[in-house]
Amino acid sequence: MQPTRFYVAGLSPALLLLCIFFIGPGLWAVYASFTNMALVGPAAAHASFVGLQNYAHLLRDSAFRQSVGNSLLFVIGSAVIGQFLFGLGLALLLEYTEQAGIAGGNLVYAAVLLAWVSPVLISGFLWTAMFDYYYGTLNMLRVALDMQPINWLGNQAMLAVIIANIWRGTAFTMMVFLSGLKTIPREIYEAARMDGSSAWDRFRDMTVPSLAPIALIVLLNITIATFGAFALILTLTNGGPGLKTEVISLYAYHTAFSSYQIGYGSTIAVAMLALNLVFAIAYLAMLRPSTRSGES
Amino acid sequence: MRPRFGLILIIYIAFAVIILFFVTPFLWLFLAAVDPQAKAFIHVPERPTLENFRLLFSDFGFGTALGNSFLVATSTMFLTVVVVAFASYTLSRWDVRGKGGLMYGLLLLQTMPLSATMVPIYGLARTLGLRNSYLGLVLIHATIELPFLIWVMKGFFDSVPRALEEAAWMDGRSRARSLLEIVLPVAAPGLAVVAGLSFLAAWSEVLLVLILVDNENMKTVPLKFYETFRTQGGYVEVRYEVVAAMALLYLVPVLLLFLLTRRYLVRGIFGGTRGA
Amino acid sequence: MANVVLDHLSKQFGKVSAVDNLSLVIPDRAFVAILGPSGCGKTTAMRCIAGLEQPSSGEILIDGHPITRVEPQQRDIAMVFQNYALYPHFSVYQNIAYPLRKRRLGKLEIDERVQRVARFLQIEQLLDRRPKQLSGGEQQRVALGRAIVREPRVFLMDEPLSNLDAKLRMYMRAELKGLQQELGVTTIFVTHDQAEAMTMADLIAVMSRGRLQQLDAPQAIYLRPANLFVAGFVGSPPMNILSGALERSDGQVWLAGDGYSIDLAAWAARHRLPADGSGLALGVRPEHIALNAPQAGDALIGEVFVSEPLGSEVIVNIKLGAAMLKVRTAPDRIPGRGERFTVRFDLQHLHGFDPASGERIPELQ
Repeated sequence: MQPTRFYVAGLSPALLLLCIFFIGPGLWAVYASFTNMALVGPAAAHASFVGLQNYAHLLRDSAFRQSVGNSLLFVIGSAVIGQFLFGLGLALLLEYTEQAGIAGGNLVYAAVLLAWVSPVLISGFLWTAMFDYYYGTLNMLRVALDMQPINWLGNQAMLAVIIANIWRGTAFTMMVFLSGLKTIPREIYEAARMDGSSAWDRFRDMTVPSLAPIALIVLLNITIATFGAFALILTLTNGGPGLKTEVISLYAYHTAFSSYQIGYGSTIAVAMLALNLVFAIAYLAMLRPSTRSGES
Repeated sequence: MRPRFGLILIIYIAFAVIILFFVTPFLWLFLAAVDPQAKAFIHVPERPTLENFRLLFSDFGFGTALGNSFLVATSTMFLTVVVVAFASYTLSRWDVRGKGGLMYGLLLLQTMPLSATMVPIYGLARTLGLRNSYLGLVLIHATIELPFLIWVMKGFFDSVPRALEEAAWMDGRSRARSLLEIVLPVAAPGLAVVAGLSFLAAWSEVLLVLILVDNENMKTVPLKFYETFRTQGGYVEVRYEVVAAMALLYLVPVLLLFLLTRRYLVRGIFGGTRGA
Repeated sequence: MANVVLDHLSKQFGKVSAVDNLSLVIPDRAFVAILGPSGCGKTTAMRCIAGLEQPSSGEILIDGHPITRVEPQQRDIAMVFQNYALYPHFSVYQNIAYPLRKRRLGKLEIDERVQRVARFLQIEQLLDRRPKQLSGGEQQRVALGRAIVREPRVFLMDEPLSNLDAKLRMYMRAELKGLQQELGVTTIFVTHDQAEAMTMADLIAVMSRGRLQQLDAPQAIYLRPANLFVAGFVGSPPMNILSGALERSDGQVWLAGDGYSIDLAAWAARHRLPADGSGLALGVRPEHIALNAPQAGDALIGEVFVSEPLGSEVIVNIKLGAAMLKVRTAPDRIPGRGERFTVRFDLQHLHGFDPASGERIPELQ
């Protein structure tokens, strides 16, 4: 078989699937966003073209604005601050203890990893129990310590989902930073010691600059990933109470499947994709120098 | 210089707190699953029992859901491995001009969340009659994982030296045979990673099942699970013991996979760019 | 004044004794090599001096002051690492300037010193580059610059030439030696290459298995090795060792070897010999053996196995009984295989060793 034909044959199943079930829907969403498609009501039978009406509505939609705000809050809280800093801290701690010969790091690593590989739904369920107002572990602890119980999934819903997401996702940043730390040659720390630097100097002058490139990449990566987060918040609060934790993905979901407005739901989805695209392009631009494979 | 005792103490306290933070929910899970009177807080059962598990199968139709999940997950795994193997081998070996663009496109697709494309996928599935069908679930599951897994597997193929295949070609074997007989065995660890990851992803997938399935007999575990504690949820009586038992059984394959492949999982993922 | 004293220095890693009771005095301004095969403890000893390892017992003193418990930052010792350990994210300028940052020097003064060092090492044109853009030799200069700019009391160098290609190595040997003499700073370097140690050092400390074998000037080490290990390690081709039993009778003294018998009467008179019948290992360097045309009645006649012509000389491998000797001969003639020669040893340069302890058999005064 000719090489070209062989390669084309090899690539086609994947390309076919991707076009039909991935790219296709993306394009379809753009199309649908210009219509008033719905699952019930008059538009269900005959959807009609409404031009940019949906988009205009989007811009005026206070619920949408709120969802954008929620998404931002969620991403900054759980990813940019939470997972990033926590993951960095864990990586530094684990690397230091490994170097200093202190045992126990493996257990910590395994514990953090366990939360990450578990299905999302499990995480959601476990934290529903933890956050339960009357009988959840957290509130039982607070009461035992003479503190007031917190209505985690009520007043503090956003805080609760942020905590749950940090719990779930920190393993990734930890792993990335750990592998980054391991690529720093030991000797430059020794050289820096000989040259008169203190532990803080070495961290600031050697560790931080060495980690800076991957820090940026991982930051963008988790921003993008957290932005699309859905299942965790769905199970914990379903966007509530009210719209307090309604992030963009949930808003799209509710609009399409609870309110049955496919057209408008698609509009929101397109907005999501567009925002995502902006971040993705920035992310890939950062990644390019370190991508060894794939560039022809 | 060995650190001071004070510092070591602080580190161990930190370790304890961190481990507690990450493990406590699981601890609750294990205890609640065998406790006939499980509550939302951690409580050691007086009379641990397997009754909860029995109830799952008799009263909650868990057996069907488990079967569905296994069916979908393993089918997805097989389909994915085959499609990914061919696609990534092609991308690894083929020097065609558009390759850079293709790789870039794949990376871009990796960043698109399912929650953005779920609406049109729903519409598409309805049109094609793929709702409530195993075929639909498997096809779409597999597709979602393709960009990331192709990237990962390509990395593995890249690390197999061309010289191996070239030797096989010189010996007269066709491209397909040399791929099957020579390259795949060497790249087998990569395929194992791809298989494991795709199984895991399909097993964990909830969003897709949520929008595609409403036939009671076809529901997979995540959906069943979600309904069970949602409908009985909120602040009313959640039958924690049953849901916990379900969660535990749902978790078991993941734990097994995790224990078996811990080292490979990390290495494989670092070939790619996957997010949280 | 910056002399370095190691006093009964020991370092264990678990059950392994990397450095065993090492005592050395390194005089001020000396260029000292710690020489030995890999695993002999030389690098560990140097790291203890640097402060990167804590000794299990013993003291390290600089100018009489114990520094064993002092942090490496405070020891005023500069180290050039085997792989240079240049800071990859800093430019060459920043690399050299880094040690000065903690010293509260003004920007102008730092700049002046860095420029001076760069000129001295002829790397001014590299100041803006990053380490990965430099060649091996250039990287070494930057590492040297970073050490020199500190004007420390002591320099440490870990296998300074091992990462350079052969030609550069030859060149740098002379350069480093000249550099050290000009700077006048006590320098200790570690190497496994005996040629390096011989050509560069004022004093060599030969180590094996964590213990000091001999501390002496290079020529002394070469001409009067303290034990079998040093005798075999230093010198290329290595010293020939003939083993056998020491026999004495009727006023004759000889070494009874396997297939040969060496008359030692003259030599024995000047040395304090062990008891009769005990083992003796006789060492003689290739240049201290003469090959002459065989005559009837000559005691030691050997047969050539193979000759290695090197251009400036020929190394003849000659069988004597069961032993194989390497002999340096003049380049004008290449002896063929099977040729026979009388073997004569230069008695002034015959070394005797106790085969059990390895110790040199001392001369009588």
